[in-house]
Amino acid sequence: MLLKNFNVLVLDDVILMCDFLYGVANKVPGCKAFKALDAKTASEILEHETIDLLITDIELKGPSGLDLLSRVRSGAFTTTAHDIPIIVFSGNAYRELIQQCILFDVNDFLAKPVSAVQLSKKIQHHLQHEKLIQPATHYAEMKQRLEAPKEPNDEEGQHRFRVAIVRELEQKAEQEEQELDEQGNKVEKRDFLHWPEDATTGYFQLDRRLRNLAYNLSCFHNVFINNCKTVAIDAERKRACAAADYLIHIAKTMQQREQRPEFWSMLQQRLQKLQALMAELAEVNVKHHKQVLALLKKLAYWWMQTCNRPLINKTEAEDEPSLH
Amino acid sequence: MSQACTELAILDLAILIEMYGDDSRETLESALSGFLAAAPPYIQSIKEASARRDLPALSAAAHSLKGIAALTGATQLAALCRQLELAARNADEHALAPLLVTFSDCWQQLQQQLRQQLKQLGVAGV
Repeated sequence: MLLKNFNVLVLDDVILMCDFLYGVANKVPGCKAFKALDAKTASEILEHETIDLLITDIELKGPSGLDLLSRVRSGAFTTTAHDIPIIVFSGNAYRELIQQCILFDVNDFLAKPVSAVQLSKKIQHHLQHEKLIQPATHYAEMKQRLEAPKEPNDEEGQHRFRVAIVRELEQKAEQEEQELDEQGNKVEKRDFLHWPEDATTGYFQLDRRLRNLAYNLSCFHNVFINNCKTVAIDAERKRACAAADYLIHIAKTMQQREQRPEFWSMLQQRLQKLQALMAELAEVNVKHHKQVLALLKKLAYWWMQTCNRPLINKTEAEDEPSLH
Repeated sequence: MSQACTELAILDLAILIEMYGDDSRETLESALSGFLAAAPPYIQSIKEASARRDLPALSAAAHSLKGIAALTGATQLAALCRQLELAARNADEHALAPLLVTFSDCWQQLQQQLRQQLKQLGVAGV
């Protein structure tokens, strides 16, 4: 089993239910559970502990589960990442609430009662299967729009939501298409940067950010190579820079708490190089093809050097010499 | 509609065991006594909310009680709570009145069965 050192927060305002969820989460191998009976306590835990998965009821006394999860996705907590898996108990919740949860890319909806076995499986599944989550700024803007007083015929606002959803759907469709290619037609189609499925730094949080960086740099690479419009290239460039910033930020936060000084010192050296490359990427004129291609080559080389031992290992086949 | 509810078991320990994934004496005792202690405030809230016709409060209390009743295997109470929640949410006062009567009866029977089970498990003072 891959799971290790995961912090799971359960939030339910019904004590017996909260205790049940807490007991189940605590029994999942490699998981440590935290519990909260209200959103305020949950916020404090999210602020002071690195939570890796949140399970929350949507209807709570006081601030709702939606309010809390929208704050998580908006990056409101310094210690907990915005892109953690979130499982929501929706029950008979109003449709509007569920739609808003979908906008905030909740990973799963469950209905009570859920058995210990079902919940345990769900926790393990979501800790091992990542969902593509947008940058925190995306959700922060959405939260702001949702909280703003509604004006009649706010077509612009509705349009913006549609755009957000379409981008998500397009990405999903692309992913599905890619999966089909890989599985069905056995087409060997590699991304510009690839994070091997069984690779790990030993830290779930870092693995996710590295995978996210690889994905976003690959997106930038694709739009650039395919001569897409400058605005699209710029958008992907911003996302890639944000993914790198987030990786660097998380690594800095984690380093203060974790052991393995040699690992962290080596990683920081690699991240300093990445920071310099990403600063170049942020400034480069995308019309200067040669410059951009040279920079992409440097990034690919950085990735190749970083995604190797001793920083990154395979989770199962420990005897293989290299990831590449 | 409440007739369908009354056909359900008052307390189904098989469901409780399936929910908790554990049939140990400790788990059964903790789940049953936990529910017996946790349910009364919600029962009270439902009754009070009904008396002052506070439908949102009634719906919220029924929603909370429904979850823990279903978890404990109190299937009849869980089904009644679900109907109460929906009726309150839809402001269906005609449906509420008979449901509240059945609800009180069901809770009385459930309390008896819970105490009986706890006695069988050797819990004193229930």
